[in-house]
Amino acid sequence: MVEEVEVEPMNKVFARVMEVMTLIGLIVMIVPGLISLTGENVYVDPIKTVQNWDKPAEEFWTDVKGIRIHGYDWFLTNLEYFDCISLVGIVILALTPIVSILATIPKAPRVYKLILTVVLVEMLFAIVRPLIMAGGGH
Amino acid sequence: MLVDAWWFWPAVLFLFTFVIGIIAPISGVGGGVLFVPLTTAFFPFNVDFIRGTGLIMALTSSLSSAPQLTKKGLANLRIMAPIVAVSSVTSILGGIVGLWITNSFPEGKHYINIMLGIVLFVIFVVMATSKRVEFPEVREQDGLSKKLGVAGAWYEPSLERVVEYRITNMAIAIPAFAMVGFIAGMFGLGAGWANVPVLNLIMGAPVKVATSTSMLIITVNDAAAAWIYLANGAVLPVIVIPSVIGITIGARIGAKLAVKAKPKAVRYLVMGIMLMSAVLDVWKGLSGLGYVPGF
Repeated sequence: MVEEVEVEPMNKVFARVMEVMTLIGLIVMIVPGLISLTGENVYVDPIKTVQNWDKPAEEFWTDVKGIRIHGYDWFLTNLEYFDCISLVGIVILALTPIVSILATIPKAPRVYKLILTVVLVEMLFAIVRPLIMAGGGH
Repeated sequence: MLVDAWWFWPAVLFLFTFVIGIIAPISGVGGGVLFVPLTTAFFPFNVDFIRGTGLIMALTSSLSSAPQLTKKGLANLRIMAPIVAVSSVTSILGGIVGLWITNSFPEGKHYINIMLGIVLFVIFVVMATSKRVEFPEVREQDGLSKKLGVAGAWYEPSLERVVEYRITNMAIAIPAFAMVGFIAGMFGLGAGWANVPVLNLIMGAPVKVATSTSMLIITVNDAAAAWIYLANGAVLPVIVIPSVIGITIGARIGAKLAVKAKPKAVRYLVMGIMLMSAVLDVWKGLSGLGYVPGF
């Protein structure tokens, strides 16, 4: 007979939210991503990409699109293109731990509520940092 | 020529990551640890895009497996939360420093190649020397672990019973995770190679708990660093999509083969490949700086 293990509520909630968010993120990333590999309706011309992908990110974008990138508007304002929609899938995946932690906090023991809130603030800082501190990693 | 067709490299990348996906579960090495150095050595992409892709690959695979492991009681938030409170910050810092080096110095990518080669040597040594303890005995918990109540249980089918465990040395382990987070963010590596020995040998987590909780740690650390790469345009779907699909399909086949294959032989083969790519990455960096001839 298989013994039952009682998994803590905070672990259960975290796992359930992560599972759903990951599935959504993967679908949004892969389906438009695969379509973008046909080279049709893409923001970044594949031929120019190949000619420039040996350059550092900053130089790449200057030479391929004539833009400097600081933040997320380079793909969020171009959602009519499949490669940019695919990046939204990556955004959902990167948001997954944040949403999972947010959902978990009410179920967590008091000391873990505090620790998870700290992690949440750090993750939110990672998102907004490029917007408030122009220059990103460059 | 075929090589000049724009789809050539994405197609090769798919096949390449498919093979990595197969051998990674058999050898017990994370796919990202093989992907980043080998792609840096053999593919024409700048190391910025390779690290961005490596992070997304590690994030995707850890997000895919972590929920199931958490539901079984193998991955535990009680262990993960205090660790990522520190390591997610260093992971973000690693991403910032890594991109700053390649974009602010003309020779930046060569320095990154050399550092990546050195990190690979370290990973090689860790893999060659660290031994795992299936069920470490924790006689007494340290103050912090006790206060946080870091313990758990899971049903172990091979023993046909529930195994309970406790964790210790949290305060000693956190600085180690901080360093690992920085390296993961800087080079776009998954960090199972370092997380598992620290969780198992220093903190006393059973091997299955260590490998599973490592996945949970990677989800948070790599998600934090991924924002830095996204915000700097270092994530290109044309590189990410074939890589994620290739490694995902390969890993499913690899997981089935792992039951039949001889893991030791494959592990030695993979360690040999890692050593070779470490040498190639250092050489590529030095040749870029003009110290040695190119290849």
